[in-house]
Amino acid sequence: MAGVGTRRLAPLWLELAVIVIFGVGLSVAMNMARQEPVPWIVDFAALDKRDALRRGLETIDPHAAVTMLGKPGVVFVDARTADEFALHHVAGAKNLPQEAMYGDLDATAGNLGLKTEDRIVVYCGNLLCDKSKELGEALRTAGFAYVTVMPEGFDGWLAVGGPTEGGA
Amino acid sequence: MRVFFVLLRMALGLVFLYAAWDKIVDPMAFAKIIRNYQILPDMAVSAVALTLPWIEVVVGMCLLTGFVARGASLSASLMMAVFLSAMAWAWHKGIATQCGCFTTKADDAISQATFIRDGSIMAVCLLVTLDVFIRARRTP
Repeated sequence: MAGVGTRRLAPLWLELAVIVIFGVGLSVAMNMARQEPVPWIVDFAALDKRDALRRGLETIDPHAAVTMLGKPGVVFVDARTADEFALHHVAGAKNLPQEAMYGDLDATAGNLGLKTEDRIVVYCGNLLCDKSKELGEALRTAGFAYVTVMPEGFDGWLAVGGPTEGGA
Repeated sequence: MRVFFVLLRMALGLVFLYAAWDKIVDPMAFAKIIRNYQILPDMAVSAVALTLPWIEVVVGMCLLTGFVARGASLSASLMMAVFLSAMAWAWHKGIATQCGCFTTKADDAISQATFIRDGSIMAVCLLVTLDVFIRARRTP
């Protein structure tokens, strides 16, 4: 009789389904078991905005930031290191490394030609860095009235095809 | 030869289990890394960050034990293909994001080394998948 004494394999789709069902089931169960379960849907943009607001800053997304480039009084400030800036940066941006906030920020910003009435858009590398928020907060404290942070950073700028300079 | 492929499959299982650990410990850090790839909509990022590591765990356990080995090896290959494609996209866009492959800490940025490492794992995945499927066809 066919099949007697042989091991029948489950269909491939069933094997894949078992993996997905177990994976999803475990993730749900283990997340529920956490002391503080992680929400399944997170509005990261709102989180960024809240964090910036706490520091007294506005936020701008890269799409909107691109439209501000070149407008009178708008200055893009790159909070990354001089090396990173030299490699590639937003077209026309000025480099004010975040480390400058530990020194005479007024003088350094003044040397760059930043004016307190400028509309400053600060950015750093990407969503994982906090340099832009930290520098933005320091600039606000130093008397710069209109400081906006682009949380998506230079990576976000590249993703929307914003104009750049540098030799990357 | 059979022993070699069984050991290879088990080693691959351990790699997947190891890769899942950091992401399970800190899902929000992993979510931020996924978000920075700028591929998924924000709404989906957290769900993927919570689910993906546990699928890696299940795949890892299956590869280790040989349970549903065809599905596990195929899943591993597909996951590696997706991971490598995401990395290639980020690389192409010039996004200097963290890989998020084995750690959520900021010391695993996408580089040639990460491509070589993940490409090698992908090659092992394909080898194991091929072996598992060939053996399954030979099963009477």
